[in-house]
Amino acid sequence: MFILVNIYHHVVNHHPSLDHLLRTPLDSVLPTYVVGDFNTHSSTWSFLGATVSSWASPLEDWFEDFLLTLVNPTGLATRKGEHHQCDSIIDLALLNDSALCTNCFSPVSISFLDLLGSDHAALSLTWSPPFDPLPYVPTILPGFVINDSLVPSWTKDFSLLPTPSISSLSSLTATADALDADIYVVSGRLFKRRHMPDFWGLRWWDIHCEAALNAVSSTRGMSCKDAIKALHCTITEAKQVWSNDNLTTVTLDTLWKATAWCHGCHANKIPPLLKPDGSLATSHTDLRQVLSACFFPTIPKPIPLSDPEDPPPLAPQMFAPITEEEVAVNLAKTSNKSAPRPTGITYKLLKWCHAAAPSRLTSLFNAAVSLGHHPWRCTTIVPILKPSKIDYQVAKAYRPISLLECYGKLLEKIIMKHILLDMARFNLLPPTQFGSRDYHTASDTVLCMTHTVQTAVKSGHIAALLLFDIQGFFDNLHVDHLVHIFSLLGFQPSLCDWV
Amino acid sequence: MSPILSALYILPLLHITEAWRFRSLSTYVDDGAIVAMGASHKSVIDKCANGFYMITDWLLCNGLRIDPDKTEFITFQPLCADPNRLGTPCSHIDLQVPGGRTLRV
Repeated sequence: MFILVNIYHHVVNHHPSLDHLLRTPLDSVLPTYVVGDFNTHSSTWSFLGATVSSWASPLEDWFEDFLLTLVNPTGLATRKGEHHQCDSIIDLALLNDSALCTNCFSPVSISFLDLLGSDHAALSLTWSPPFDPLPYVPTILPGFVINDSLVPSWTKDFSLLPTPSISSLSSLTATADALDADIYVVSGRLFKRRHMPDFWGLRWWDIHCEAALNAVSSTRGMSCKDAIKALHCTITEAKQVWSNDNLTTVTLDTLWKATAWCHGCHANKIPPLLKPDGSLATSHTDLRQVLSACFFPTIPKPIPLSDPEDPPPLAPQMFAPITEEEVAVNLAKTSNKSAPRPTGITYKLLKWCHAAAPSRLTSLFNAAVSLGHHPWRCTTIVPILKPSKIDYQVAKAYRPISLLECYGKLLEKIIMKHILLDMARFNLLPPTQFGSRDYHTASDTVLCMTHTVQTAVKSGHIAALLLFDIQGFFDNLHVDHLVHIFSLLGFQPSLCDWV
Repeated sequence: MSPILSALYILPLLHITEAWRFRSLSTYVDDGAIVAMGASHKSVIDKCANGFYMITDWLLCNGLRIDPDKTEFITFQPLCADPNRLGTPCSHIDLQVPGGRTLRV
């Protein structure tokens, strides 16, 4: 194995953009090949008379720091000068000491023959591994590639499975696991497993494109230019044929898929992040630690469980059992595209499951509430870039997104409706809280404040607004105190335990 | 569910501020606004500042704190009013926040 680092150094008006590269450490243990267009003239590799770039020195220091040796053939230009410009050496190939010791890399060759229209030479190097590379095995992801036309078979198979009874906490957990297993078994009979997409696959690429590319590689001189033009035309035609084929058999689903594909596949890689001591976290473990420390605050200071200002205790109310219709109504409002994790069981499969055996989800949810246990608390946390941040090397520039199990999300939706109903029925929230109430929006808060301010000003008084935001509100709640307030408000003890 | 649970958590604070006179606290989950009214600039500033200190104290006792960067202060005054009665308007106010910092808003 070796690391390939491909470089394009973009220079605008003589201003380099090497900051990120120069801050990026290379692992000196792993064999590494760094190659690309550095757009840099230096007394070390350029022809005599070339004006040395002002950023050449820090770049050479970076090479030296990570034991990179220039392996370009001596004295060979890598770019043809245009309009009386001199030929130059700005494309560099470098191997680190680890790579040189392996003796697996051939000398670099420079060729202006296979350019595909570029004015830069092709730098070629052969790597001969001392072992046979492992065959490509696609990474299996959780979940299935669902075929909607098989819903009758899926429903029939699933409805034949028995519904386990739940009497204790252990049987609740076992039943939740059994539901996962049953959905996996039935889906596994009918559907393929999901796997990582092939990022290099061009859906429109066909044998004509392949032939045109071969023609470009095998021709020289003026006929090469014609071959490149022909390749462009062939690619355009192939794209057109592919699009027409898709449009003639278009459905709403394929149209949205095509639109999503046009936007491209965004794979956000997390760059090395700054640790509290100022060093950089590069490994997966270190990155996880830095992000965890930022996303999850340390254990908060203990606070008294009860407070003199707590609301007076209300009589406990029974939690109305969840009905099959309620599950169906709430399921109908869910999106099949909602990201499922960690089992990969989507809302679509839950809809099929509930249609086939309505008692399974309903009894599981009722048992979870009556036993005061949430069986789906495991989550996958994905860091997403916050837009327009200056520095993406700090963990604060990322937002954690929790991908929860669809079962758990559905149960929370249903319980939320029950709590909202009780809050309205027993008037639990004062009118000054506009959030978390049915038929109330943020605009109502603004209207209320505007009314108060206008009333004050019209009566000849001064009005003032002091606006504030509670930092990391939900993340910093003391769960014990929250449950205490919850129980004071008359919610069933098992529901308090579930919370 | 987090907005509902958060709203219930600060229920005691909202009950306390219901007794306020000539100022009020409106909240939208984690956002809050103190609205104060008075005869002079000084009186509304005092009302807002006192309300702010009471809220920050309660939050601190309950493991929460205010985000200093998202705190703002706005005043509104009648167009035709006696400037001698209203006093001098302030472009900012200084508030003490937990941790010994002074927050200028």
